[in-house]
Amino acid sequence: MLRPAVAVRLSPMLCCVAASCSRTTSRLVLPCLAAVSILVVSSSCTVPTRRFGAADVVDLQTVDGALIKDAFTNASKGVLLLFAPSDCLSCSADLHQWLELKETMSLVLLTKEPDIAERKLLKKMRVLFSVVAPGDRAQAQKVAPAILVIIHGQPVIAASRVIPPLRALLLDSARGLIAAQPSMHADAR
Amino acid sequence: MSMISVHYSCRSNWRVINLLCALLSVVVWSGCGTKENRRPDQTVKLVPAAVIKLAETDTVYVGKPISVAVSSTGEIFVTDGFAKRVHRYAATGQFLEVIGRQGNGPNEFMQPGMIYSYDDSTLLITDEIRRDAVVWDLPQKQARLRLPFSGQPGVYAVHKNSLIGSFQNPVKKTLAMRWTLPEVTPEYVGKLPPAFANGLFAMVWGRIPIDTYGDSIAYTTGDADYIRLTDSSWHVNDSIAIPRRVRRGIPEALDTTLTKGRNIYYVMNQLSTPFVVHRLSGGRFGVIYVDATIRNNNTMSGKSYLTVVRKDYPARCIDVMIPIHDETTIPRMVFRGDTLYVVDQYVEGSKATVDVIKFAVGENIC
Repeated sequence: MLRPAVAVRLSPMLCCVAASCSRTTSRLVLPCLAAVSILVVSSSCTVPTRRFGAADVVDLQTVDGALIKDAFTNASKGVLLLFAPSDCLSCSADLHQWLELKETMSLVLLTKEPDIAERKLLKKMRVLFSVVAPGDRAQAQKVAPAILVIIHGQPVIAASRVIPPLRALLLDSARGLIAAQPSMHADAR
Repeated sequence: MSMISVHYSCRSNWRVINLLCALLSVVVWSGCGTKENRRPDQTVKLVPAAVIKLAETDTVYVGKPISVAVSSTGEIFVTDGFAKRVHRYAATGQFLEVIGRQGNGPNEFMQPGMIYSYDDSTLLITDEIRRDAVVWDLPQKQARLRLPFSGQPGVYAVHKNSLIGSFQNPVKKTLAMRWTLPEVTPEYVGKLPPAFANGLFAMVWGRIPIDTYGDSIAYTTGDADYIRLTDSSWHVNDSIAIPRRVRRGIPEALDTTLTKGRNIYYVMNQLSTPFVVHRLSGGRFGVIYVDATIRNNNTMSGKSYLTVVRKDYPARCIDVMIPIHDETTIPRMVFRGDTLYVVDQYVEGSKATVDVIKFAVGENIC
Protein backbone atom coordinates (compact mmCIF):
# COMPACT_ATOMS: atom_id res chain seq x y z
CA MET A 1 0.00 0.00 0.00
CA LEU A 2 1.31 3.40 -0.96
CA ARG A 3 1.91 5.51 2.08
CA PRO A 4 0.80 9.13 1.99
CA ALA A 5 4.35 10.35 2.40
CA VAL A 6 5.42 8.44 -0.74
CA ALA A 7 2.51 9.89 -2.68
CA VAL A 8 3.55 13.35 -1.66
CA ARG A 9 7.09 12.69 -2.83
CA LEU A 10 5.88 11.31 -6.18
CA SER A 11 3.42 14.03 -6.94
CA PRO A 12 5.92 16.70 -8.23
CA MET A 13 7.36 14.17 -10.64
CA LEU A 14 3.89 13.19 -11.83
CA CYS A 15 2.99 16.80 -12.30
CA CYS A 16 6.02 17.27 -14.56
CA VAL A 17 5.02 14.25 -16.64
CA ALA A 18 1.46 15.45 -16.85
CA ALA A 19 2.57 18.92 -17.88
CA SER A 20 4.71 17.50 -20.64
CA CYS A 21 1.66 15.77 -22.14
CA SER A 22 0.29 18.99 -23.51
CA ARG A 23 3.47 19.67 -25.50
CA THR A 24 3.89 16.21 -27.01
CA THR A 25 2.33 14.45 -29.94
CA SER A 26 0.18 11.35 -30.08
CA ARG A 27 3.16 9.01 -29.73
CA LEU A 28 3.50 10.19 -26.24
CA VAL A 29 -0.09 9.44 -25.30
CA LEU A 30 0.88 6.19 -23.62
CA PRO A 31 3.32 7.72 -21.13
CA CYS A 32 0.76 10.42 -20.36
CA LEU A 33 -1.88 7.84 -19.65
CA ALA A 34 0.56 6.01 -17.48
CA ALA A 35 1.32 9.18 -15.55
CA VAL A 36 -2.33 9.92 -15.04
CA SER A 37 -3.07 6.37 -13.90
CA ILE A 38 -0.19 6.47 -11.43
CA LEU A 39 -1.56 9.73 -10.09
CA VAL A 40 -5.02 8.24 -9.68
CA VAL A 41 -3.67 5.11 -8.03
CA SER A 42 -1.45 7.07 -5.66
CA SER A 43 -4.26 9.34 -4.61
CA SER A 44 -6.63 6.44 -4.01
CA CYS A 45 -4.01 4.66 -1.96
CA THR A 46 -3.56 7.59 0.41
CA VAL A 47 -4.63 6.42 3.84
CA PRO A 48 -6.70 9.03 5.70
CA THR A 49 -4.82 10.52 8.64
CA ARG A 50 -5.93 9.02 11.98
CA ARG A 51 -7.91 11.52 14.02
CA PHE A 52 -6.40 12.76 17.23
CA GLY A 53 -8.31 11.26 20.13
CA ALA A 54 -8.36 11.62 23.88
CA ALA A 55 -6.08 8.60 24.29
CA ASP A 56 -3.42 10.47 22.30
CA VAL A 57 -3.18 13.22 24.91
CA VAL A 58 -0.50 11.18 26.69
CA ASP A 59 1.72 11.60 23.63
CA LEU A 60 1.68 15.38 23.89
CA GLN A 61 4.39 17.43 25.53
CA THR A 62 4.21 19.97 28.29
CA VAL A 63 5.80 23.42 28.10
CA ASP A 64 8.88 22.15 29.89
CA GLY A 65 9.44 19.56 27.16
CA ALA A 66 8.37 16.48 29.11
CA LEU A 67 6.14 13.87 27.55
CA ILE A 68 2.90 13.59 29.45
CA LYS A 69 3.01 9.82 29.50
CA ASP A 70 6.32 10.02 31.39
CA ALA A 71 4.48 11.48 34.35
CA PHE A 72 2.62 8.19 34.73
CA THR A 73 5.52 5.77 34.26
CA ASN A 74 5.98 5.12 37.94
CA ALA A 75 2.31 5.17 38.85
CA SER A 76 0.19 2.06 38.56
CA LYS A 77 -2.96 4.19 38.62
CA GLY A 78 -3.36 7.65 37.19
CA VAL A 79 -5.90 10.23 36.18
CA LEU A 80 -5.32 12.93 33.61
CA LEU A 81 -7.74 15.85 33.36
CA LEU A 82 -7.37 18.13 30.35
CA PHE A 83 -9.08 21.52 30.53
CA ALA A 84 -9.02 24.86 28.82
CA PRO A 85 -8.24 27.28 31.65
CA SER A 86 -11.18 29.46 30.66
CA ASP A 87 -13.48 26.45 30.77
CA CYS A 88 -14.97 27.51 34.07
CA LEU A 89 -12.42 25.88 36.31
CA SER A 90 -14.10 27.60 39.22
CA CYS A 91 -17.26 25.62 38.69
CA SER A 92 -15.71 22.36 37.54
CA ALA A 93 -18.03 20.55 39.82
CA ASP A 94 -16.13 17.36 40.54
CA LEU A 95 -12.50 18.36 40.15
CA HIS A 96 -11.85 17.76 43.82
CA GLN A 97 -13.30 14.26 43.64
CA TRP A 98 -11.06 13.35 40.74
CA LEU A 99 -8.02 14.73 42.45
CA GLU A 100 -8.65 12.90 45.70
CA LEU A 101 -9.01 9.43 44.19
CA LYS A 102 -7.02 7.29 46.57
CA GLU A 103 -3.45 6.30 45.74
CA THR A 104 -3.82 7.67 42.26
CA MET A 105 -1.42 9.93 40.43
CA SER A 106 -3.46 12.93 39.27
CA LEU A 107 -2.47 15.48 36.69
CA VAL A 108 -4.40 18.56 35.60
CA LEU A 109 -3.29 19.60 32.16
CA LEU A 110 -4.26 22.95 30.67
CA THR A 111 -4.53 23.63 26.96
CA LYS A 112 -2.84 27.01 27.39
CA GLU A 113 -1.25 29.20 30.01
CA PRO A 114 -3.85 30.46 32.51
CA ASP A 115 -4.22 34.21 32.89
CA ILE A 116 -3.56 35.95 36.20
CA ALA A 117 -7.09 35.45 37.57
CA GLU A 118 -7.21 31.80 36.53
CA ARG A 119 -3.78 31.16 37.99
CA LYS A 120 -4.86 32.73 41.27
CA LEU A 121 -7.98 30.61 41.34
CA LEU A 122 -6.00 27.43 40.75
CA LYS A 123 -3.63 28.32 43.53
CA LYS A 124 -6.50 28.97 45.91
CA MET A 125 -7.89 25.55 45.12
CA ARG A 126 -4.37 24.09 45.52
CA VAL A 127 -4.58 22.57 42.05
CA LEU A 128 -1.16 21.77 40.61
CA PHE A 129 -1.16 21.85 36.84
CA SER A 130 0.94 21.50 33.72
CA VAL A 131 0.45 23.28 30.42
CA VAL A 132 0.54 21.71 26.98
CA ALA A 133 3.52 22.75 24.81
CA PRO A 134 2.64 25.45 22.24
CA GLY A 135 3.17 23.09 19.31
CA ASP A 136 0.66 20.59 20.69
CA ARG A 137 -2.04 23.01 21.78
CA ALA A 138 -4.14 22.76 18.63
CA GLN A 139 -4.39 19.00 19.14
CA ALA A 140 -5.22 19.37 22.81
CA GLN A 141 -7.96 21.90 22.13
CA LYS A 142 -9.67 19.46 19.78
CA VAL A 143 -10.41 17.05 22.60
CA ALA A 144 -10.65 19.29 25.69
CA PRO A 145 -12.17 18.85 28.18
CA ALA A 146 -10.87 15.30 28.27
CA ILE A 147 -10.46 12.68 30.97
CA LEU A 148 -8.09 9.74 30.92
CA VAL A 149 -7.81 6.98 33.47
CA ILE A 150 -4.43 5.32 33.12
CA ILE A 151 -3.65 1.91 34.54
CA HIS A 152 -0.07 0.72 34.29
CA GLY A 153 0.72 3.34 31.68
CA GLN A 154 -2.19 2.48 29.40
CA PRO A 155 -5.32 4.63 29.06
CA VAL A 156 -8.28 2.43 30.01
CA ILE A 157 -10.75 5.29 29.89
CA ALA A 158 -10.21 8.10 27.40
CA ALA A 159 -13.07 10.49 26.84
CA SER A 160 -13.01 13.76 24.96
CA ARG A 161 -15.38 16.72 25.07
CA VAL A 162 -16.72 15.49 28.38
CA ILE A 163 -19.86 17.19 29.59
CA PRO A 164 -20.57 17.27 33.36
CA PRO A 165 -23.19 14.46 33.48
CA LEU A 166 -20.84 12.19 31.58
CA ARG A 167 -18.02 13.19 33.89
CA ALA A 168 -20.03 11.96 36.86
CA LEU A 169 -20.55 8.60 35.18
CA LEU A 170 -16.86 8.40 34.30
CA LEU A 171 -15.98 9.14 37.89
CA ASP A 172 -18.00 6.14 39.06
CA SER A 173 -16.31 3.94 36.45
CA ALA A 174 -12.90 5.27 37.39
CA ARG A 175 -13.52 4.53 41.05
CA GLY A 176 -14.43 0.97 40.17
CA LEU A 177 -11.40 0.45 37.97
CA ILE A 178 -9.03 1.98 40.47
CA ALA A 179 -10.47 0.02 43.38
CA ALA A 180 -9.98 -3.19 41.40
CA GLN A 181 -6.27 -2.50 41.10
CA PRO A 182 -3.89 -3.61 43.84
CA SER A 183 -2.77 -0.74 46.04
CA MET A 184 0.63 0.90 45.73
CA HIS A 185 1.76 -0.83 48.90
CA ALA A 186 0.84 -4.18 47.43
CA ASP A 187 2.83 -3.28 44.29
CA ALA A 188 5.85 -2.48 46.40
CA ARG A 189 5.71 -5.85 48.09
CA MET B 1 -42.76 73.77 62.43
CA SER B 2 -40.27 74.17 65.25
CA MET B 3 -38.98 77.39 63.69
CA ILE B 4 -42.46 78.94 63.52
CA SER B 5 -43.21 78.26 67.14
CA VAL B 6 -39.91 79.72 68.23
CA HIS B 7 -40.60 83.03 66.42
CA TYR B 8 -44.16 83.20 67.77
CA SER B 9 -42.93 83.00 71.34
CA CYS B 10 -40.41 85.68 70.66
CA ARG B 11 -42.92 88.37 69.74
CA SER B 12 -43.92 89.17 73.32
CA ASN B 13 -40.41 89.74 74.55
CA TRP B 14 -38.30 91.83 72.29
CA ARG B 15 -34.69 92.88 72.71
CA VAL B 16 -32.90 90.27 74.84
CA ILE B 17 -35.32 87.51 74.22
CA ASN B 18 -35.45 88.37 70.53
CA LEU B 19 -31.71 88.21 70.41
CA LEU B 20 -31.78 84.86 72.12
CA CYS B 21 -34.42 83.69 69.67
CA ALA B 22 -32.29 84.82 66.77
CA LEU B 23 -29.37 82.91 68.17
CA LEU B 24 -31.56 79.90 68.72
CA SER B 25 -32.79 80.14 65.15
CA VAL B 26 -29.25 80.16 63.89
CA VAL B 27 -28.43 77.14 66.01
CA VAL B 28 -31.52 75.28 64.83
CA TRP B 29 -30.93 76.08 61.20
CA SER B 30 -27.27 75.30 61.32
CA GLY B 31 -28.09 72.05 63.08
CA CYS B 32 -30.56 71.14 60.35
CA GLY B 33 -28.10 72.12 57.69
CA THR B 34 -25.44 69.94 59.19
CA LYS B 35 -27.80 67.03 59.32
CA GLU B 36 -28.86 67.41 55.71
CA ASN B 37 -25.36 67.84 54.43
CA ARG B 38 -23.92 65.00 56.40
CA ARG B 39 -21.93 62.62 54.30
CA PRO B 40 -20.69 59.24 55.32
CA ASP B 41 -17.30 59.51 56.84
CA GLN B 42 -15.15 57.98 54.14
CA THR B 43 -11.96 58.58 56.03
CA VAL B 44 -12.90 55.90 58.55
CA LYS B 45 -10.97 52.71 58.13
CA LEU B 46 -12.06 49.37 59.47
CA VAL B 47 -9.40 47.99 61.73
CA PRO B 48 -9.43 44.25 62.34
CA ALA B 49 -10.21 43.31 65.92
CA ALA B 50 -8.64 39.91 65.28
CA VAL B 51 -7.33 37.79 62.45
CA ILE B 52 -8.04 34.08 62.76
CA LYS B 53 -5.92 31.84 60.58
CA LEU B 54 -7.86 28.75 59.54
CA ALA B 55 -5.65 25.75 60.07
CA GLU B 56 -5.31 23.32 57.20
CA THR B 57 -3.82 19.99 56.31
CA ASP B 58 -2.72 18.54 52.97
CA THR B 59 -6.21 17.26 52.33
CA VAL B 60 -8.41 19.59 54.33
CA TYR B 61 -8.37 23.19 53.24
CA VAL B 62 -10.90 25.70 52.00
CA GLY B 63 -10.52 25.81 48.23
CA LYS B 64 -13.50 27.97 47.38
CA PRO B 65 -15.39 29.56 50.28
CA ILE B 66 -19.09 29.91 49.52
CA SER B 67 -20.49 31.09 52.83
CA VAL B 68 -19.58 31.39 56.49
CA ALA B 69 -21.47 31.07 59.76
CA VAL B 70 -20.43 31.71 63.35
CA SER B 71 -22.00 30.09 66.40
CA SER B 72 -22.61 31.83 69.69
CA THR B 73 -19.45 30.22 71.05
CA GLY B 74 -17.40 31.65 68.20
CA GLU B 75 -17.02 28.42 66.25
CA ILE B 76 -16.59 29.10 62.55
CA PHE B 77 -18.21 27.09 59.76
CA VAL B 78 -17.13 27.59 56.16
CA THR B 79 -18.83 26.02 53.15
CA ASP B 80 -16.25 24.89 50.62
CA GLY B 81 -17.57 24.93 47.06
CA PHE B 82 -14.47 23.12 45.80
CA ALA B 83 -14.64 20.05 48.03
CA LYS B 84 -18.45 20.35 48.40
CA ARG B 85 -18.47 20.13 52.16
CA VAL B 86 -18.39 22.25 55.30
CA HIS B 87 -15.35 22.81 57.52
CA ARG B 88 -15.72 23.41 61.22
CA TYR B 89 -13.17 25.45 63.15
CA ALA B 90 -12.78 26.48 66.76
CA ALA B 91 -12.87 30.19 67.59
CA THR B 92 -9.08 30.14 67.47
CA GLY B 93 -9.01 28.72 63.93
CA GLN B 94 -8.11 25.19 64.98
CA PHE B 95 -9.59 22.68 62.56
CA LEU B 96 -12.26 20.53 64.21
CA GLU B 97 -14.01 18.44 61.60
CA VAL B 98 -15.34 18.06 58.10
CA ILE B 99 -19.12 18.09 57.78
CA GLY B 100 -20.58 16.06 54.92
CA ARG B 101 -18.98 15.29 51.61
CA GLN B 102 -19.81 15.45 47.93
CA GLY B 103 -22.55 13.12 46.80
CA ASN B 104 -26.25 12.47 46.71
CA GLY B 105 -26.65 10.56 49.98
CA PRO B 106 -28.29 11.67 53.21
CA ASN B 107 -25.11 13.18 54.67
CA GLU B 108 -23.81 14.52 51.40
CA PHE B 109 -23.98 17.72 49.35
CA MET B 110 -24.11 18.18 45.62
CA GLN B 111 -23.53 21.92 45.83
CA PRO B 112 -23.52 23.35 49.34
CA GLY B 113 -24.58 26.98 49.37
CA MET B 114 -25.58 29.19 52.27
CA ILE B 115 -24.97 28.12 55.85
CA TYR B 116 -26.72 29.30 59.01
CA SER B 117 -26.12 28.59 62.65
CA TYR B 118 -29.63 27.72 63.84
CA ASP B 119 -28.43 26.99 67.33
CA ASP B 120 -25.16 25.75 68.77
CA SER B 121 -25.96 22.15 67.94
CA THR B 122 -27.74 22.64 64.61
CA LEU B 123 -26.62 23.97 61.26
CA LEU B 124 -28.71 24.66 58.19
CA ILE B 125 -26.94 24.22 54.89
CA THR B 126 -28.70 24.76 51.59
CA ASP B 127 -27.94 22.56 48.62
CA GLU B 128 -28.24 24.54 45.40
CA ILE B 129 -28.53 21.51 43.13
CA ARG B 130 -30.72 19.28 45.26
CA ARG B 131 -32.79 22.31 46.17
CA ASP B 132 -33.16 21.57 49.80
CA ALA B 133 -31.65 22.49 53.12
CA VAL B 134 -29.79 20.03 55.29
CA VAL B 135 -30.51 20.26 58.99
CA TRP B 136 -27.19 19.10 60.39
CA ASP B 137 -26.94 17.76 63.92
CA LEU B 138 -23.49 18.70 65.19
CA PRO B 139 -23.34 16.38 68.25
CA GLN B 140 -24.64 13.41 66.22
CA LYS B 141 -22.37 14.32 63.28
CA GLN B 142 -25.07 13.62 60.72
CA ALA B 143 -27.99 15.15 58.89
CA ARG B 144 -31.11 15.16 61.01
CA LEU B 145 -33.39 15.80 58.04
CA ARG B 146 -33.54 17.50 54.69
CA LEU B 147 -36.04 20.26 54.02
CA PRO B 148 -37.25 20.08 50.45
CA PHE B 149 -37.87 23.34 48.55
CA SER B 150 -39.98 23.48 45.44
CA GLY B 151 -37.66 26.01 43.89
CA GLN B 152 -34.21 27.47 44.10
CA PRO B 153 -33.12 28.19 47.68
CA GLY B 154 -32.92 31.92 48.26
CA VAL B 155 -31.87 33.84 51.33
CA TYR B 156 -32.74 32.86 54.86
CA ALA B 157 -32.42 34.13 58.36
CA VAL B 158 -32.91 32.39 61.65
CA HIS B 159 -35.48 34.20 63.74
CA LYS B 160 -36.20 32.96 67.24
CA ASN B 161 -36.78 29.26 66.61
CA SER B 162 -37.75 29.59 62.98
CA LEU B 163 -35.94 29.63 59.72
CA ILE B 164 -37.52 32.23 57.49
CA GLY B 165 -36.62 32.97 53.95
CA SER B 166 -37.37 32.69 50.31
CA PHE B 167 -37.12 30.37 47.40
CA GLN B 168 -37.47 31.10 43.74
CA ASN B 169 -40.02 29.05 41.91
CA PRO B 170 -40.12 29.53 38.13
CA VAL B 171 -43.93 29.30 38.11
CA LYS B 172 -44.98 30.73 41.45
CA LYS B 173 -42.13 33.27 41.52
CA THR B 174 -40.57 34.13 44.83
CA LEU B 175 -42.29 32.60 47.81
CA ALA B 176 -41.72 33.00 51.50
CA MET B 177 -41.20 30.04 53.77
CA ARG B 178 -40.99 29.43 57.47
CA TRP B 179 -39.73 26.36 59.23
CA THR B 180 -39.28 25.42 62.84
CA LEU B 181 -37.55 22.39 64.26
CA PRO B 182 -38.74 19.59 64.51
CA GLU B 183 -41.14 20.01 61.59
CA VAL B 184 -40.08 18.02 58.58
CA THR B 185 -41.40 20.33 55.89
CA PRO B 186 -41.34 24.09 55.56
CA GLU B 187 -44.52 26.12 55.71
CA TYR B 188 -45.10 28.39 52.73
CA VAL B 189 -46.49 31.72 53.79
CA GLY B 190 -47.30 33.30 50.45
CA LYS B 191 -45.54 35.46 47.97
CA LEU B 192 -42.79 37.82 48.98
CA PRO B 193 -43.03 41.57 48.43
CA PRO B 194 -42.62 42.70 44.82
CA ALA B 195 -39.01 43.74 45.30
CA PHE B 196 -38.13 40.09 45.60
CA ALA B 197 -39.90 38.91 42.51
CA ASN B 198 -40.25 41.84 40.14
CA GLY B 199 -37.26 44.09 40.55
CA LEU B 200 -34.38 43.85 38.17
CA PHE B 201 -32.20 43.51 41.21
CA ALA B 202 -34.04 40.38 42.22
CA MET B 203 -34.01 39.08 38.70
CA VAL B 204 -30.29 39.62 38.35
CA TRP B 205 -29.19 38.36 41.69
CA GLY B 206 -32.06 36.16 42.72
CA ARG B 207 -31.29 37.07 46.29
CA ILE B 208 -32.47 39.88 48.50
CA PRO B 209 -30.56 40.42 51.72
CA ILE B 210 -32.74 39.81 54.75
CA ASP B 211 -32.36 39.71 58.49
CA THR B 212 -34.62 39.68 61.49
CA TYR B 213 -35.36 42.73 63.56
CA GLY B 214 -37.16 42.22 66.82
CA ASP B 215 -40.38 40.56 65.76
CA SER B 216 -39.95 41.78 62.21
CA ILE B 217 -38.10 40.85 59.10
CA ALA B 218 -35.83 43.41 57.48
CA TYR B 219 -34.86 43.34 53.84
CA THR B 220 -33.37 45.77 51.39
CA THR B 221 -35.52 46.70 48.43
CA GLY B 222 -34.50 45.96 44.90
CA ASP B 223 -33.21 49.44 44.19
CA ALA B 224 -31.57 49.61 47.60
CA ASP B 225 -33.29 52.79 48.73
CA TYR B 226 -34.93 51.36 51.81
CA ILE B 227 -34.69 48.72 54.41
CA ARG B 228 -38.25 47.46 54.75
CA LEU B 229 -39.43 46.08 58.04
CA THR B 230 -42.25 43.58 57.88
CA ASP B 231 -44.24 41.43 60.23
CA SER B 232 -43.91 37.69 60.11
CA SER B 233 -46.42 37.58 57.23
CA TRP B 234 -44.16 39.87 55.20
CA HIS B 235 -46.50 42.86 55.39
CA VAL B 236 -44.39 46.02 55.41
CA ASN B 237 -45.00 48.10 58.52
CA ASP B 238 -41.96 50.37 58.56
CA SER B 239 -39.08 51.53 56.40
CA ILE B 240 -35.64 52.93 56.91
CA ALA B 241 -34.31 55.10 54.12
CA ILE B 242 -30.84 54.37 52.87
CA PRO B 243 -29.30 57.11 50.75
CA ARG B 244 -28.78 55.65 47.33
CA ARG B 245 -25.27 54.44 47.02
CA VAL B 246 -23.77 55.62 43.76
CA ARG B 247 -20.98 53.44 42.66
CA ARG B 248 -17.70 55.25 42.52
CA GLY B 249 -16.41 55.95 39.06
CA ILE B 250 -19.77 55.23 37.47
CA PRO B 251 -21.20 58.39 35.94
CA GLU B 252 -24.66 57.11 35.10
CA ALA B 253 -27.58 57.34 37.46
CA LEU B 254 -29.02 54.10 38.69
CA ASP B 255 -32.36 54.70 36.99
CA THR B 256 -30.68 55.27 33.68
CA THR B 257 -28.74 52.11 34.09
CA LEU B 258 -31.78 50.07 34.90
CA THR B 259 -33.95 51.44 32.11
CA LYS B 260 -31.39 51.25 29.37
CA GLY B 261 -32.10 47.58 29.01
CA ARG B 262 -28.60 46.66 28.05
CA ASN B 263 -27.17 43.25 28.69
CA ILE B 264 -27.06 41.79 32.13
CA TYR B 265 -23.30 42.22 32.50
CA TYR B 266 -23.60 45.91 31.77
CA VAL B 267 -26.32 46.41 34.36
CA MET B 268 -24.52 44.47 37.06
CA ASN B 269 -21.28 46.26 36.40
CA GLN B 270 -22.99 49.62 37.03
CA LEU B 271 -24.69 48.80 40.31
CA SER B 272 -23.59 49.00 43.86
CA THR B 273 -25.46 46.01 45.14
CA PRO B 274 -26.58 45.32 48.70
CA PHE B 275 -25.70 41.75 49.58
CA VAL B 276 -26.13 41.60 53.33
CA VAL B 277 -28.34 43.46 55.78
CA HIS B 278 -27.95 42.98 59.51
CA ARG B 279 -29.43 44.48 62.65
CA LEU B 280 -26.74 45.96 64.86
CA SER B 281 -27.18 47.21 68.40
CA GLY B 282 -28.66 50.66 69.08
CA GLY B 283 -31.22 50.47 66.28
CA ARG B 284 -28.52 50.48 63.63
CA PHE B 285 -28.30 48.39 60.50
CA GLY B 286 -25.20 47.23 58.72
CA VAL B 287 -25.48 46.82 54.96
CA ILE B 288 -22.76 45.27 52.83
CA TYR B 289 -22.59 46.59 49.29
CA VAL B 290 -20.62 44.99 46.51
CA ASP B 291 -19.38 46.87 43.48
CA ALA B 292 -19.02 43.82 41.30
CA THR B 293 -17.50 43.38 37.89
CA ILE B 294 -18.71 40.38 36.00
CA ARG B 295 -16.93 39.13 32.96
CA ASN B 296 -18.34 37.15 30.10
CA ASN B 297 -16.92 33.92 31.46
CA ASN B 298 -19.05 34.46 34.59
CA THR B 299 -16.12 35.21 36.86
CA MET B 300 -16.86 37.98 39.30
CA SER B 301 -14.55 40.38 41.07
CA GLY B 302 -15.14 43.60 42.94
CA LYS B 303 -14.90 45.55 46.15
CA SER B 304 -17.13 45.33 49.20
CA TYR B 305 -18.24 48.22 51.37
CA LEU B 306 -19.76 48.39 54.82
CA THR B 307 -22.45 50.99 55.33
CA VAL B 308 -24.06 51.64 58.70
CA VAL B 309 -27.45 53.36 58.83
CA ARG B 310 -29.90 54.36 61.54
CA LYS B 311 -33.55 55.26 61.25
CA ASP B 312 -33.17 58.66 62.90
CA TYR B 313 -30.12 59.58 60.90
CA PRO B 314 -30.66 60.70 57.33
CA ALA B 315 -27.29 59.69 55.97
CA ARG B 316 -25.01 56.73 56.08
CA CYS B 317 -22.81 56.97 59.14
CA ILE B 318 -19.92 55.29 57.42
CA ASP B 319 -19.28 53.94 53.98
CA VAL B 320 -16.03 52.12 54.15
CA MET B 321 -14.30 49.53 52.04
CA ILE B 322 -13.78 46.21 53.75
CA PRO B 323 -10.04 45.71 53.79
CA ILE B 324 -8.85 42.31 52.66
CA HIS B 325 -5.62 41.17 51.04
CA ASP B 326 -6.96 40.72 47.54
CA GLU B 327 -9.18 43.69 46.80
CA THR B 328 -10.45 42.16 43.57
CA THR B 329 -12.04 39.29 45.47
CA ILE B 330 -15.55 39.52 46.85
CA PRO B 331 -15.20 37.96 50.28
CA ARG B 332 -17.79 35.85 52.09
CA MET B 333 -18.92 37.41 55.32
CA VAL B 334 -21.42 37.23 58.11
CA PHE B 335 -22.45 39.37 61.06
CA ARG B 336 -22.75 37.99 64.56
CA GLY B 337 -23.99 40.64 66.96
CA ASP B 338 -21.89 43.73 66.37
CA THR B 339 -19.03 41.80 64.84
CA LEU B 340 -18.47 41.30 61.14
CA TYR B 341 -16.61 38.12 60.17
CA VAL B 342 -14.94 38.23 56.75
CA VAL B 343 -13.30 35.27 55.01
CA ASP B 344 -10.05 36.53 53.52
CA GLN B 345 -8.62 34.08 51.01
CA TYR B 346 -5.44 35.20 49.30
CA VAL B 347 -2.34 33.99 47.54
CA GLU B 348 1.15 35.01 48.57
CA GLY B 349 3.83 33.66 46.27
CA SER B 350 2.75 30.11 45.62
CA LYS B 351 0.90 29.69 48.90
CA ALA B 352 -2.82 30.20 49.41
CA THR B 353 -4.08 31.16 52.85
CA VAL B 354 -7.53 31.53 54.36
CA ASP B 355 -8.07 33.86 57.31
CA VAL B 356 -11.21 35.05 59.02
CA ILE B 357 -11.00 38.71 59.95
CA LYS B 358 -13.15 40.07 62.77
CA PHE B 359 -14.27 43.68 62.60
CA ALA B 360 -16.01 45.27 65.55
CA VAL B 361 -18.88 47.54 64.49
CA GLY B 362 -19.53 49.07 67.90
CA GLU B 363 -21.85 51.88 68.85
CA ASN B 364 -19.03 54.37 68.42
CA ILE B 365 -19.82 53.97 64.74
CA CYS B 366 -23.10 55.77 64.13
